Amino acid sequence: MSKTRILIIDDHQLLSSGLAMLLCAEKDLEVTGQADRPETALRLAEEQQPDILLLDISLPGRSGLDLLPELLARSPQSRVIMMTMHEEQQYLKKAIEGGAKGFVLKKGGGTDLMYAIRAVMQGDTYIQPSMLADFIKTGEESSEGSPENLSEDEQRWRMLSQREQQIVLGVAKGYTSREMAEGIFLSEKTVATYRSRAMTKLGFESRADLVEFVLRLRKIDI
Amino acid sequence: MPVALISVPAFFRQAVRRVRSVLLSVPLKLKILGLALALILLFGAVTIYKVQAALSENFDAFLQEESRFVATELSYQSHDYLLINDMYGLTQMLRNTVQNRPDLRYVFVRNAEGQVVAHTFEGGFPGDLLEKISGLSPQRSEPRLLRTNEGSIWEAEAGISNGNEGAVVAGVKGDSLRRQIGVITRSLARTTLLVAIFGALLSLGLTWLITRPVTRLLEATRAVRRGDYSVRLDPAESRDELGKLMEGFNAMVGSLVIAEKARLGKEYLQRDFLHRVMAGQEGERKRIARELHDQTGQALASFMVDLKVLENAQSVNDRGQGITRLRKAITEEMEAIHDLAVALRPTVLDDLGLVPAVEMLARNFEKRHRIQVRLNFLGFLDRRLELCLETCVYRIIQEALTNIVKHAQATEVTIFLEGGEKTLRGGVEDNGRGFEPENIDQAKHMGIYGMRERIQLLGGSFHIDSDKGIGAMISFEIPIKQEKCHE
Repeated sequence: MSKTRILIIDDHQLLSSGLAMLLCAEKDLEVTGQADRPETALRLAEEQQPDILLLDISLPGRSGLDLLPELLARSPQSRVIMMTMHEEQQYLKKAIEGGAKGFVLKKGGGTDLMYAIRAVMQGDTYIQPSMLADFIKTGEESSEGSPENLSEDEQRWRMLSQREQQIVLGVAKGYTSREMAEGIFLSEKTVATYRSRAMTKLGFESRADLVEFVLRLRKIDI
Repeated sequence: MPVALISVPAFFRQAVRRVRSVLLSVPLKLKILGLALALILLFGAVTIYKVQAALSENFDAFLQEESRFVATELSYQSHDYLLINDMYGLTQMLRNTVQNRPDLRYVFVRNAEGQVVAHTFEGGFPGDLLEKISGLSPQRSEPRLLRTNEGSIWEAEAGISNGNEGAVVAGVKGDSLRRQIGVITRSLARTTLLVAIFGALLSLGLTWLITRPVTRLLEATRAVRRGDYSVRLDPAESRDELGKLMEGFNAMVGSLVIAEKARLGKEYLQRDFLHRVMAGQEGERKRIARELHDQTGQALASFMVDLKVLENAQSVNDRGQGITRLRKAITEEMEAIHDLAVALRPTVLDDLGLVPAVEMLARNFEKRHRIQVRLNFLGFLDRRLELCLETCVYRIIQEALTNIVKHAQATEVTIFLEGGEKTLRGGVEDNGRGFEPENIDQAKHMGIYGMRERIQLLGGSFHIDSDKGIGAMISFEIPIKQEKCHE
């Protein structure tokens, strides 16, 4: 069985050589190169067509996330494992969107990396366990209220609080602030504040804009 | 020729321009004085000229008539004297007449032979007059004008008894009339002069009245230029246009004072803000230094000790436990450093942009403070904006969240951002207890002042919309295109 060929892309020499030592100690792994700059990384990836690309996010001049699609274009067979200090979900999301198969935190030391390489080589995706829970949660959130699936007007409508939605509908129907204030037991000034806030959020300047918006949304009938 | 045609109007134009420039350069006082004097003198001169002309026109006619009348009158009286040949009486009579009539220069009587028999000349009959005597004419002849060394004299001759017995010749010089004209002229001239003096005094008084407020205004303007805003003019001093000007001046100084006060206030705030920013920066550095020294440094030192312990470890078991402990400690330390770095500057902002950075901020905020954050992003997708703009908006949202934790007692926060074509709009709203924006003391709440400053630096606008009981909303709108981006 041939060894899994790995290219390490990280600008920290110490870490990079440490990892290389760690990986080389494994019988089935082989580090074919270490790149500390984006240009070198692109060149080596193209030359070597490695099985695994270990990619750091913070690189000099360019983010590893930026580099990801380009690396995959040059070496399409490679599987990319992001290896980073950043624990923020946003990086993880972006990395997976960009085509990474693994996401490992540097602070985990070598252990997680080994798991990741093995999993990825078997065709799985590996995500640092400590980040997985949050990742699944964000995934649920975005599928539930996915902004991409909604029209711009719907998204705007969702910006408004319930009170604001109520007041906007009232305004669109032609009620005055006083009438609304009496209807929902608020002071007239409060109603006016909600109204002006809703207008600010929606970016409208006149009542006509508001009415048109509400009509487009079909929240009221003409 | 064409040259001449062009140069003449050019010359006039030049002359007019020169006169104009001279008139403009002369002080107001002299202008009014000059105008008054010129008018008075012109009027006086015209009057004198007109009077003279009118008098002179009648003067000769009068003298002719006078000479004719005197000659005729005397011809009747002389008749008797000639009859009795009383030449002495005749001469006396003639002399009396000359004395009584101031215009009459001389009279003489000729007999039928043409010889002069009586005359009024003191020193004998002048020879050259004798030469001019014509022959006797039977009828009364028209008066004639004699040019003598004493001046023009109208001479008329009247025959005695139709000229049969001689003739009376009367010469009228009109001295007294001329004197009278002179008297009138002089008196007119004197009057003109008096009026001119009076007019000059009057115009000086008038100019004083006019220029005094102007001088006041000038002095006041100078005072204001020196920075003395306490000057005020009394418009009651002159209730005309200048009074209005003074009122306007007072109003102007008034608004200058207000503007100056506002400027000073703003300057104070700015300086205060700068101080606080600098103090804040220094505090932050102090905190980082302490953190690095006390926390990171100590941790590294403890790692060294642990490594030493590992080196000396006897059993495999001890070594394994030591390694596990060390790994845990290092992991903790890495987290601490990471948190410190993120607090200073979230790399997400640089690497991924505003929206992921705000998402991260919001998630961390939710975890730490148990306040729900609703996020609304519109028109971004993977769009990146100028870094200074992203930093500005990030820091504003950060500041707003800090304020909400400190003051609002909110349970829900809404953050919205909309990236348009030309502007970036956004805001942070909470459902806390709210406040009245008018009652915010800017000096105490540098947070709000800082937000406003940041946004104004990028040419944007900032609003606070809040009321007691219904939470607060800060909102902003910043141009996407930034000319200067210092980041």
